[in-house]
Parts: sequence; C-alpha cells; structure tokens
Amino acid sequence: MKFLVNAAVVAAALGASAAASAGTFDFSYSFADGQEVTGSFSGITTNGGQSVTDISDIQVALNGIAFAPVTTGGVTYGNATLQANTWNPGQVAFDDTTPVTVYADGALNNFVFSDVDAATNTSPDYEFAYINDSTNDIYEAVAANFLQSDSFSTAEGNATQLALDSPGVAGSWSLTEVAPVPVPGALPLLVSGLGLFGFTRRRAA
Amino acid sequence: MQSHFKTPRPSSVAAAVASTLALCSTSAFASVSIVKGVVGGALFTPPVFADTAAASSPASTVASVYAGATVCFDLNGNGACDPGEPSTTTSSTGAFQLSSPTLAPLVAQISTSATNNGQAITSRNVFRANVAQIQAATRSPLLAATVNLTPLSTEVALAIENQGLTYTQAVDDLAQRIDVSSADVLLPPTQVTDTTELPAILKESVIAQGRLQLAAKFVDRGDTIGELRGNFDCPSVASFDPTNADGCTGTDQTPVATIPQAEEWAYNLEGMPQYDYVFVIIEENESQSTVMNTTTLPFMNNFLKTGNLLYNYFSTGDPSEPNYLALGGADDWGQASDEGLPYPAVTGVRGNLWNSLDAAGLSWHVYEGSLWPSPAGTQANVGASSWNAANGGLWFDNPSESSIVGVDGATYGSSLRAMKHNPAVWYADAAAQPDFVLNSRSVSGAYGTADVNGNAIAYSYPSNAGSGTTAITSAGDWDSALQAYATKNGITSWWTGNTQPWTQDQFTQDLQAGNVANYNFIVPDQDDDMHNDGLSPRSDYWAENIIKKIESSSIWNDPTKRVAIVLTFDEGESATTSCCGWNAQRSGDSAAQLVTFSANGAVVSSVSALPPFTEAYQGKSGTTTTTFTSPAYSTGNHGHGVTIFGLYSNQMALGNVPGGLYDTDYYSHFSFVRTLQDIFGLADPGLPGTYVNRSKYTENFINQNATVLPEFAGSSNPHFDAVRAMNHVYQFPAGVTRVVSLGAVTPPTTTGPDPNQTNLWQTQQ
Repeated sequence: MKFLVNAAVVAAALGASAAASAGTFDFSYSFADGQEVTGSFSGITTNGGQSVTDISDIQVALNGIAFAPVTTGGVTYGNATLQANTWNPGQVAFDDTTPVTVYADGALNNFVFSDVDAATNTSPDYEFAYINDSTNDIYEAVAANFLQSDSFSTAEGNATQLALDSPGVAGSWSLTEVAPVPVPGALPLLVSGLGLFGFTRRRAA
Repeated sequence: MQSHFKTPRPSSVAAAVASTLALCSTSAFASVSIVKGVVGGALFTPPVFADTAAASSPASTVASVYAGATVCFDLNGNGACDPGEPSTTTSSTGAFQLSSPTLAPLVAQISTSATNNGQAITSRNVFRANVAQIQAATRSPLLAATVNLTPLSTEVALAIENQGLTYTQAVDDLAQRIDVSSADVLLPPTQVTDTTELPAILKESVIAQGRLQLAAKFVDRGDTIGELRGNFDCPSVASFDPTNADGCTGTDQTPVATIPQAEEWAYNLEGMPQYDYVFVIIEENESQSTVMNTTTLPFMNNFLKTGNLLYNYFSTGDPSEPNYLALGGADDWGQASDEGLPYPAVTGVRGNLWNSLDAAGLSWHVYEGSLWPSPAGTQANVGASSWNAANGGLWFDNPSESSIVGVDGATYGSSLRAMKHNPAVWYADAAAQPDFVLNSRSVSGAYGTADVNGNAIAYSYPSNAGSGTTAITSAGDWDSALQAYATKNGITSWWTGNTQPWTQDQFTQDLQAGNVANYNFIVPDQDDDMHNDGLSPRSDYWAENIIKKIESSSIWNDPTKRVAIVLTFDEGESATTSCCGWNAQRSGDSAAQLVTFSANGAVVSSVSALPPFTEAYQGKSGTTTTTFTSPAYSTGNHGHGVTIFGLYSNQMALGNVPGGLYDTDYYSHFSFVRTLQDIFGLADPGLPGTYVNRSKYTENFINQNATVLPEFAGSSNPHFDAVRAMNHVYQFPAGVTRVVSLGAVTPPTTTGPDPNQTNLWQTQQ
C-alpha cells in the first residue's frame, strides 16, 4: 500500500512521469450520523498528487451493502457498472462532458458515482454524490441505495439506505492509493525516467 | 510534504465488489427522490376562561417542531403512511431525511405518540407536501431537496389539488393571503427569522392545525360525505321528519376515504368555506317589508340586491338584548328585557362565539359607534358599579353629558351607545379575558368622511333630499363632538388595558393598517341604526360609509383574501314567530336538574323531562354530570319574526362568484352562529357538543335526543324548528310551502326547491 503523495514524490523524481501515475484508490466518507460510504476506483493522479482523474472500475458500498443489482420477482434491477459524472455549477446539474476529478481534499469534490449516466438519467438505483458548489451554495454528501429501500424490497427487511450530510464535511473524507500501477501511456515516459534515474545514480556513484 | 490521504478505514469494499454481479439489469424507477426537512408548526396554548379576570389567561403560541412523527412518501396518495411506503421518524428536532425510488407526495403522520415541542399531542394530525413542492425544491434528483412539512405546506397542497393552482401560484397566494413573503411561507416556523412575518405564520399554522386535526377525525370516524357537506338529513332523520326530509342517499352515505379528501371538507365544514374576515353590520328593529324598496335606504337596498339575500332569516325575540345574546352565543339565556338583569348576564363559563374564536387562535373586534371617551379615573366611572370601575368603565351605557352637543343641536344622552347592543359584553368569561378591552373598539360612520384611501364617499341617497325631522347629514354626528370633548379634556387613551391611542374611529385606522379582526361586529349608535330615527337615510349613510370603507381597503381588494360583509337586523317587527333553535309553540320550563351528557354532546339521561340546556357542557369531553337551572322561556323570546340578512363578499365584487342569489330556507341568529363556527373552523360537525349552545340543535341532534328535549315535542315542523348552517343544502320537497312570517317579503320561491340551490357563501365556483 502506498499513499498517492509518495507516488508523486517518485514521479517528481522521475520527471515527466509525475503527471500520469495510475493506481487503485480506496475512499470513504463518514456521515455525521455514523453511516459510512466506502469504495474504490482506478484512476490517474494529477495535480501533484492532489487529485485523481480517468476514474474507472468504481465500487461503492453504503453501510457495507454494495451498490449492486438486485433480482426480485425474476427481474434484475440496477446496473453492475458504476459511472462517474461531474457536477456542473453552471448548469446546476451533472454533466457527462467534464472529466471527473476526485480530490484528496473533500471540499473540492463535485462528483457522483451511480449506476447511470447522471447527466441524462435522474433515476439511479444507487448513488454517492459529493458536492461543493459555491456558485449555487450547494454543499452535500449524499449516499442512497434505492434498491434497498423498504418500498422496493420489503422482503429484505432493510430500511431505506440513505445518508445525508448537508453540507458535506471534508474532514470525513478519505482517499487513499492502495495499488499504483503504470498506465500504458506512461510507460515510455516511465522507462525514460528510470533510465535517467539510473544514469544519475551511476554518475553519482 | 504532508500526505493528503488518510489511512483507509476497514471497509467491506472487497466483499461488496465480490458481490457485484454482472447481470443484465433494468431501470427500476421513473424518478427517485431524496428529501430532508423538518416537521414543524405551532404550539398553541389555549386561553383559560373564567368569570373573573384574575382566573383568566390569554392564549399563547410559539413555533414548534414535532418529534416522533412518521414521515413517508405517500405512494398511493391516501394521506397515510402505509406498510411498504418509504418512511422514517422525525428526530427530537423534528428533522427527517428520506429517500424513495419513486417520487411521491410526502406525509407527516403525527400520532398521539409524537410530541409537539415536547408536549403531548391529544389528537392526531397529518401534514402533507405536494409532489410539486418536492420538485420545486429539487436541484437534482440525485441531491437532497429541502421539503418542510408544515400546516402551511398542507394548505399549499390543498390549493393545488382543489383549486387547480400551480405550485408557484399556490405558494404566492398563501403568502399574499397571510401577508408574508413567498420565500418564507413554507419555512417551519422555528426557522422564520422575520419578526413581522412570524406572528402571521404562527397564526395560520394554528388555524390550519385545527382544521387538519378535524380532517384526521373525519377519516378515523368514517364520517360520511353527507354529514361533512352539511346535509342535515344524514345519516338519516327521515323517521323524525318524514315530511321534509329529502334523505341521505348516494355519495352522501359514503364515508370520507382519504386524508386529502377529508381535508377539503375540513376547510368547508358543512359546506361553509373558510373566510379570512367577516364584517357584520347590525341594524335595529325593522322588518323586510319596511326596509326593502324603501326610497330613503337606497344603499341598503342596492346592497341587498347586489349581494345575496336570505328571505327567511328569523330573529330570536323582543326586545334587543335577547337577539344580541343570541348573536354572541346562540342562546338568549331566558332574557326577555333590555339590561333588566345584573351584569354580566351569562356566567359559569358558557360557550360563546368570542371564546370559541379565542380558543382557535382567531381574533374578534366589536366596534361601537359613539363610544364614550372613558379612560379609567375620569367621569366615565362615576356611577358605575364597583365591578365596572375595577375593569375600566366599559360596562355601562354612556352617560349624558350636556357639554357635548351634536350638529343637530341635541346633547349627548344615554340612549346612544347601549350595552344591550354589544353581543360580547354580557358573557362574563369573554369579558374577563385579558384582551377583551382591546377588542372593544370605536367606529365612526360620520357623514362626509373619506374612505380608507382618503377619497370622498359618494352617497347613494341625495345629500339635499332631507328626511323628516332628522337632518340627513347627522349620521355619526356625535363623533366630531366627542372628539372635541376628548381633546378639550386631554383624553388620549382608551380604557385600562386598551393601549390604543384614543380616537373615535379605530375602525378606519384598523382597516388602513390591515389590523381588523377575523370577525368584526359593527354596532352603530342608536341614532344611526334605525333604533331612534327609524327609516331615516342617516342609517343608510352610516352603513354606506362603513361598507365603502371596507370596500376601499386593501384586504377587500386582495383576491387571495376572502372577505364577507353581512348586513342584518337584530329583530323584525310585529310577528312572534321564530325558528331554528326554538319550538315557538312551546311554553317555557324552569327547574334544577341533573343531566348527563356523552362525549359528543348528546344527552344520556336527565332526572326529569325538562329542557336540558346543554350549553353548560360546551366543549366537554367524556360524560359530564352536573346540576343546572334552566331559564324560563315562558317569559318571552318566542321570536320577533323575519328580519333581514344580506351578504356580500369581495369574491362577488371580483366576479369570482355570482351575487343576486337568494335562499329561502329557514335560518336564525342561532343558524348564523353555527355558520360562523363552520366558517372559522371552531367546531366539529361530528360532535354536536362542540357547537355552542342552541346552535347545536340540528334536526339530527334533536331527533337523537327527542325524549329529553320536550321543548321540541309537538313540533309541527321539525325542519323549521331546527338549526342548520346557512349552506343552502336542504331542498324543500315539491309541494311544501314555506312558513311566511308577518313582516316578511314574500320570497320569489314559496313552494318546492329554490331554482338555484347554490351556497350563498361560496368563495369559488
């Protein structure tokens, strides 16, 4: 396990490779009422290790219950693949054109993870949104799993899975890199960087 | 460099990931909804009523939150939180958060296990929010919308559902109607920071909470539509009144099914719509036949023709006082003379309109003409009883004062302002309330004064026409003389307890400031009310002056406010018939006896078959047993015939409802009191005992208690003798001819139903 900032140090040492460090990241958000969202995604660190872009392979759980499809009555609800969308203050809506960036500083986050394209579909089956919109004065952390609501599946005996913080609390947010991996586009730079690193070390020796 | 990232917490991500299945899936929902908010309202502490000021206390209201209330998405729209509907429970701060896979209205179910600011709730309530309110508060369905559930959010929902308004229109209309901003009207009162708006929001919350509690009772009891719309044949009195009953059939027999449906009826109790302001102008001692089409009263006649007219409106008795007592509390208490009894006349905490208004968080004023300028300690207290002196000198007729000379040369005498014409002062517990003095106010109808906007009033009767011995320009002629007297003697304030600056015309000031009460009873002096001067045009001038001031006010011209003006007389002439609360053929009885009443006001038992006057049990719950003495009805008060009742509203003036309609059913002062209780939401149609005194004596109630109401025994026309709201629901069967009283103008319809059975009080079509 490595923190993203360590990767940044390495990347800085490697010169050009610093802007394109890929990895897998764990995140969590603890709500004021004790509920917790946890999850992971893959992405590439940016901004000197302050943020992650190119988000993929998103996994989310609310209170330990995964955002995952549910089959009831022979019908399966929910999409297994989660998507990320950016909150657009100008549109006061989520869009699917602005690249999603997840920040280490929770107060900078404006994204949603859900099982739909939130720009065009306002009916997710589950979602985790973390919004800090000073333009529209919207500060919220929202996690909801509608497939676990009592109106959807009373047989499961679950109360509605919903957690709200308004405003969201940055201090409750955690983002951790758990497995940095080279991305294909960064490999040439990494190789050249390593070569430069080896050359320097040899010269120093 | 310090790490921006924290050590990850133990999580179940791995397990979650493992459980994620790559299944073919479908979209489950049309529109999800996430909401948060507060269930809030008002905590109203009702007044304590007693016959003495020391034992009385006023009402108080504070902003409140409801803890332990169930909040749900009402997926089936029945106004209840049913199993399977997403629900949660409010916290100690009244807060809730809730999500639903389906957008639906919100309901706060406030049961008796919930609390209001920590106080127990004795009768359950339901607040709602329309889907449109959720949508309006939604920035994105994926984010939480702030939706507060309050009595006022429920009123907005009702306006959307029943008036066809958009959400924005409904919010704006409600805000305008109660004079607050649209931005604040749906805030829970605990979050209202504008100190000028908070009282209005609290007052409307109290009013609405009362209505909404009634709605919940309607559903819980399974009240029928017929009962709620004021069909007094429901559930059925056919066996009691086979001649006149038109039965209770069809939808009238259907129990009200849902909370939203019941709420609609709670704002239309017995078919009577809610009014924000009612003004009653009372005149004296004339019958229909002398007033209608009389040329010296052009304004009044035009008022009666332009507005709606009740052709069979009966007075209570003769002389004045029994009628004013009846207008104040739906009984004459056996009084058969004017001020021929010790003051106060009605003691023992009896039901009356004034207390009922106070107990519901509503306001009332009695405006009187030519009020004596009588601050405590001045001449006004000379000759008053010790009780009067201790209470500021309001409780007597004005004294004679030779230094006050009217424009016609007469001196100010004791026959001007009469306590017998004040419908509130005789009720001891009403008069003992701390706000009673403040509610007793002055009014001027002086000829030539301007309307509330300073514009000259153009009178209907020519100013140069003259009339008999009374100068036509003398309407309100004492006002300027009284003002001069007050100025000369340095009188600048009213009685003890009334902090208003002294003026002979608080009424106009109140209209200008929007400070009139919900119920305003306006009493001219005896020169201006036809008592002393008969059909003189001065009464026409005075009434025109007052009504045109009302019509020039901002409240009248605000379409969101519902304002009614009633022009009526205390009694008619010559006839000795009455209706609607009396059996005029019955002699009186007097005795002390023990009577037991049930929770709904019905008589359970009595020692002997004597008139059990139920008024002592007004508002009581459970079984009550006590001893009382019934007054002697044999001494008079068998009616004084048909008098006049004209009704005009700002909704007519705005063209929203028609005028020029008439109703030929039988009504009385008791009926009017019942009607006012419905209009202001003061009583529960399902509990007769909640209506004051004889206003509870509906045909159905009499039928159910016939064996212990011998005063109604032998009635030849039970419909005629029974009380009903002025809702025009009853249809005379074909072939049945009206009772026609001496002094009445024969109505256009005398047999069978009226051609138009529209409720004359309607505020929307």
